Amino acid sequence: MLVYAGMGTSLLLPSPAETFLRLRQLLGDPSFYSIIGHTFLRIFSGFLLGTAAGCILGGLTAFSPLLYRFFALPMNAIKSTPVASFVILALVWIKGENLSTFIAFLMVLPVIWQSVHTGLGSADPELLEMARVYRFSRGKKLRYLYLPAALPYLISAMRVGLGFSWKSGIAGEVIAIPSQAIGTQLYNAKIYLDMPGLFAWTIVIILLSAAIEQVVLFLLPDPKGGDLDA
Amino acid sequence: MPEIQNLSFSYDGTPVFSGLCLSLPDGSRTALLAPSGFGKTTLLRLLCGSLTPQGGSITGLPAEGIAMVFQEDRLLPACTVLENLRLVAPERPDTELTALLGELGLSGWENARPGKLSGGMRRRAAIARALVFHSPLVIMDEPFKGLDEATLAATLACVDRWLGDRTFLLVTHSPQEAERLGCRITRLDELTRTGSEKQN
Repeated sequence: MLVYAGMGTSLLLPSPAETFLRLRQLLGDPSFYSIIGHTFLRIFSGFLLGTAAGCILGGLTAFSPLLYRFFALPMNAIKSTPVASFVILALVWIKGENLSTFIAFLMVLPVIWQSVHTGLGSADPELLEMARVYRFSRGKKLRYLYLPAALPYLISAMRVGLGFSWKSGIAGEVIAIPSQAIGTQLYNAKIYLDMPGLFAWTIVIILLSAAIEQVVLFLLPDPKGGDLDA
Repeated sequence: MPEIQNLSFSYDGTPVFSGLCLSLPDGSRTALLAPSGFGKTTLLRLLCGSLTPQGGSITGLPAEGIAMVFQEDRLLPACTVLENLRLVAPERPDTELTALLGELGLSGWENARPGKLSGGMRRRAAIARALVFHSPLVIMDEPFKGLDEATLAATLACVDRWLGDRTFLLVTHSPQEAERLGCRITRLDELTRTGSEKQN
C-alpha cells in the first residue's frame, strides 16, 4: 500500500482494489476456467508422469548400484540445469501445447527419483534381517518395510516437486505461449501493460498451487499408518 | 538336525570362533551361556544366515526359516501387535493368536502399535511372534531380559508349552532360566576355547 501510494500509478504497481477488481472480472469470465483447466491438466499430467517415472527409477537404482551410477549423472545434470534452458531447448523438439507437461515432468523427475532412492535405502537393516529370517515374501517386504521407509521421503518430495513443477510449467507457458494457458495470460498482461491482470493471474497461480498441494496431501496415505487385512 | 562343524569366524582379523562344534538334536533344548563379548550374537547371526562362516559349516537348518527372538524386539512399528503375529503366521486364526497374547499378559494390547508398549511388553510380543511361526527351530537371544519374577514365571510357562517338541536354542546369562525350560547348558566360552562341546 505504501509503495503504491509512493508511486501513484497503476502502470507499474496496481492498487489492491484494482487487482481484486480484475480478479473478479476474471472469475466472471467463462474462459478463465477453461484456461485454468488446460494449464492444470498439462502441468499435473507432467507431475504425475515425473512422479511415476521417478518412483520406478528410484526403485531400480535403490537395489542396483550399477543402475544408480548410470542414472546419477543425468539426474544431477537435470537438477542443476536452469528451467529456461530446458524450455528453449524443448521448444525446438516439442509443440508449445505440450511443453509445460514436459517441463513439469523434467523438473519433478530427479526430485522424486532421489527421494525414493534414499527412502528405500533407509529401510531398517534390523527389520530387513528379521524379515529374511521369517521368510517374508518380496511383496511383504515391499509393503511393510520398504514402503513405510520410502513414503515420508516421497511425500516430502511430492510437496516440493508439485510446487516446483507448477511454477516451472507456467514459466514454460510464458515462453512457449500455447493457447488456453495461464502462462500465456501472464505474457499478454505483460505485453499490454495490464498490471492488474498480471497481479490477478499471479494470485490465481498462488491459490491454485496451495489448493493442489492440499488436495494431494489429503489423498496420500499417512506414512505412520498401516493396516493388515490378511 | 542343525549341526555346526569346525566353525570359524573373525572380525577384521580378530578371531571370534575357531573350530567351534555344536549340534542341536531334533527336539532338544539347549541353552548357550557365556559372558558378554564371547560371540553369542555372532553365532546366532551365522545360524540365521546374516553372516557367512569363514571356515567350517552349518548344516541341517530348516528351509522354512527360523523362529527367532532377536536381542532387539524388531517388531514392525507401523503394525499392531496382532498384525505382527499375523504376518508370520497367516494360517493361524486370530483367536489362537489372541489367546497366546493373553497368556503372555498382553490382553487388551492386541491392536496397539509397538511404540505404545513398554519394553517388557514388546519383548513378550516378540516372543509371541517366534512361538506362532511354523518352524521346527526356535532361537531366542536373551528373551527374558528385564521381566519381573511374576511375569517371567508366566512367560517361561507359556514358552515351555508352545515350544512343544521343537528344537530350541536359548542364549542367556541366567542358568536358572535355562533350567526352568529344561535346557541342557552349553558354555560358549568353553566351546570357543576348546572347539568342542562341554555339557552340564
